[in-house]
Amino acid sequence: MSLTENYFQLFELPEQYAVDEDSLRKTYRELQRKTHPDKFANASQHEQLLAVQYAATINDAYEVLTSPLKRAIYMLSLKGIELDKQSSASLDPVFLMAQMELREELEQAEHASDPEAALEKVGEHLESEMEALQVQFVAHLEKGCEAELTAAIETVKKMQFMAKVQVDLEHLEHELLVD
Amino acid sequence: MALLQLSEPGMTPEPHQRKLAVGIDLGTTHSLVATVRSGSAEVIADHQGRKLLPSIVQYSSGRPVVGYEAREQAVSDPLNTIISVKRLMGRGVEDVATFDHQVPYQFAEQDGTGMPLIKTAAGNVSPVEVSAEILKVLAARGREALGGDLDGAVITVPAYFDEAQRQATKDAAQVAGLKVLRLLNEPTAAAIAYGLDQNEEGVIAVYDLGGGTFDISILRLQAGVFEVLSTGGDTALGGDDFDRAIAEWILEESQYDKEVTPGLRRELLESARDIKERLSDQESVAVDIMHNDFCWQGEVSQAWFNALIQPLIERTLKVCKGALRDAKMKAKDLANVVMVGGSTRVPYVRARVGELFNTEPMVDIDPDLVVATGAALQADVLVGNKSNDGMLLLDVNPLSLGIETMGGLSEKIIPRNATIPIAKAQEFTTYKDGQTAMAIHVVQGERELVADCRSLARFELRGIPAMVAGAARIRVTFQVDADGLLSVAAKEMTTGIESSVTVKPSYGLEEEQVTQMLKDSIAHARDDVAARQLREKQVDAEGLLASIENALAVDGDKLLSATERTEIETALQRLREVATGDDGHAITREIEKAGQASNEFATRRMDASIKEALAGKALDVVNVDKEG
Repeated sequence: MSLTENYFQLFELPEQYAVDEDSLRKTYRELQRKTHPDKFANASQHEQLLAVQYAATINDAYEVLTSPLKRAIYMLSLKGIELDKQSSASLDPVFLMAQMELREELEQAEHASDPEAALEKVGEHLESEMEALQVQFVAHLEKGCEAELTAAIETVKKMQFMAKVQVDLEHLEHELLVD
Repeated sequence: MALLQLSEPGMTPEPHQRKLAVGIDLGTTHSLVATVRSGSAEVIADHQGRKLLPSIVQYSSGRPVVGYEAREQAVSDPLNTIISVKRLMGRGVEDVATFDHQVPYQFAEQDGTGMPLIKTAAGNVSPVEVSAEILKVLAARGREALGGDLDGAVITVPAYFDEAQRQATKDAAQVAGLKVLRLLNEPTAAAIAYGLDQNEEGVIAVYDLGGGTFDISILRLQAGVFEVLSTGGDTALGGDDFDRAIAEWILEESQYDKEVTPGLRRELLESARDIKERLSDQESVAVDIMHNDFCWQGEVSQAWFNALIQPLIERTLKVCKGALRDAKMKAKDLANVVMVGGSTRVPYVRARVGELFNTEPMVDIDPDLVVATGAALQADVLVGNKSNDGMLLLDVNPLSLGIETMGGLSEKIIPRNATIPIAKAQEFTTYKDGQTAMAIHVVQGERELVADCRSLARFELRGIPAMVAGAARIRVTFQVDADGLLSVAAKEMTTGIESSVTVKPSYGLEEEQVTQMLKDSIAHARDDVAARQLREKQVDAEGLLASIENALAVDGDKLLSATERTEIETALQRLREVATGDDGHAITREIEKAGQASNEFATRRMDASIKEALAGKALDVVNVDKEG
């Protein structure tokens, strides 16, 4: 059954980090057009359940493939590497410094005269850091030897750190709106 | 390209095969029913030509009275006239305790369930039953207009309705004897009405301020696909609150110092609604209220009204900003803002929304009718009257779903704004040596503390083999279907022990209660319960036969071996033999068997259609290349 295929195969994409978002979205819609439960409103109960399962899997695949972090974690898992089970080796000091700086920026932005604009700036900074990490990840993954894979894992862990900052940033933005 | 015209599922059937389906907008203040006739959607009016049905039910002696007649009784019989019951749907006794000052009627608690009942002269009634009375009237209106029994209905709910509120709505439909094709989010329904009507493309916002609820949805519309990017709202904010603000202001101004009777309160709210409506097209209006010994006269202006409701509008605008942010959109990215719900008639609401989104809000379709219209269009597709290749709805889960972990924290498993249907699994473990059972508490909401979230259900996974703490691996799977309803399954991975529940909200109805209410209400109508149930089974059998026969004709040769095909056909034959008979049990049994016999075939068809979808895409690419 095609659902057991990996997500790249499900979307008929080459197994590589770079994805074309437009074509991904197009494929996603075509797949949903065929499997969405709305197409089976009149079908047997079994078919309805099947449709929910298929559509849910396709939604999950789409989410993983469109998210830079989830996609990276997923590619590692395809190589048999479960990120959660990796020992957390100490991250390099340069990254930790950069990380702390971002946290500081975030804190300052919160108390800035125009917090909304300040937060947006932090967001841009965060995005450029994230993009740099993605480039590193691809480079490590393409070389593929043991040492490079270890480096790729490290890079994904850094991406996770950045994603946490992103969550905090969004949380602050949300609070700004609510107040 | 098309050399052969095959009649496939999804193609428009012959006129005589048209099925009867309606879309129902079950609103706080008004409810409506609409249907598609000769290609266009129209709201069905009553004999007096009125399209709206006030969502008001009066319980006195005899049958409940619904609509305008009930509204006339609201002031003279406030205790037995149930208004805005939508606000009580899916709520527990503790929740409604906070409504006490807002509604005149009194509540009782149903034994052990925590579900509030409303005390009336005709006995205690649940909010689900009250809603069912409204649905019955609309269903009858639909039956009469279409000339036959309804094959199904799409019922709309606020996008921000939680699990309990959705389940209560579905229960009400069942009690009213309706087959629910889908629970559809109100803003999405409005988007369908606008999108299909005007070939809209791009990103739009739907601002839906009804009598009792507020929703905002941001959607991307493209080539018939309605993709909800984010949604937000407040299920206890609407035009009713405008009325209440006016009534309270008048009461204060009047310096009336006696106890406010339920009748006076209702009178004040009725006057408030009238003032609000008149201020929608007049700069100022004179007010003269007399009720027993209460008397107030004065003049109020639009500016006064705007100031009064400003805090409420501000609340909706904040939710709008949040939804925009969640959709990763800026106001300038939006092609349009669609206004839905009677409360968007208030000029100040339109002005402030226009200001926020920096565009003139769209009001082309009557804001009272647009939701029912969209629901009818969707019902027509779901019931199979219209080729459904064109339209696709991708809606989202409005609130995060999670489970309680140590320390009373909620661990989110399905985030809000995730496209549904969705299934997510997470592994948990035991925290004590030798622990053999685990309680699972499902909650809904964004807050970190379980105490701040809505409790949905509790269940227990038993029979975990005794192991050291942390050794068991319990995989909890959450699945949200296309109605936005949740089911949860838990499995201990080292032993394979399973436990699953369809989440019934903590104070929701049990399946048997729903069935009982249905029976009671049919008994009222002097219908024959057994005959009705048999007829339903016969219809199910007919539907299953048609669907599998059709599948066999289209894909049987491609996907089945001769033996497999014979097996399915034998099962179909058995079902056919009993399908029109009067042995309900036999029909159920053969439906089950025919379903089982064709399960593998159904799976293969699904896989084949995925391959076909991908092949179709490849073809597009080739065509593009040629053109280039």
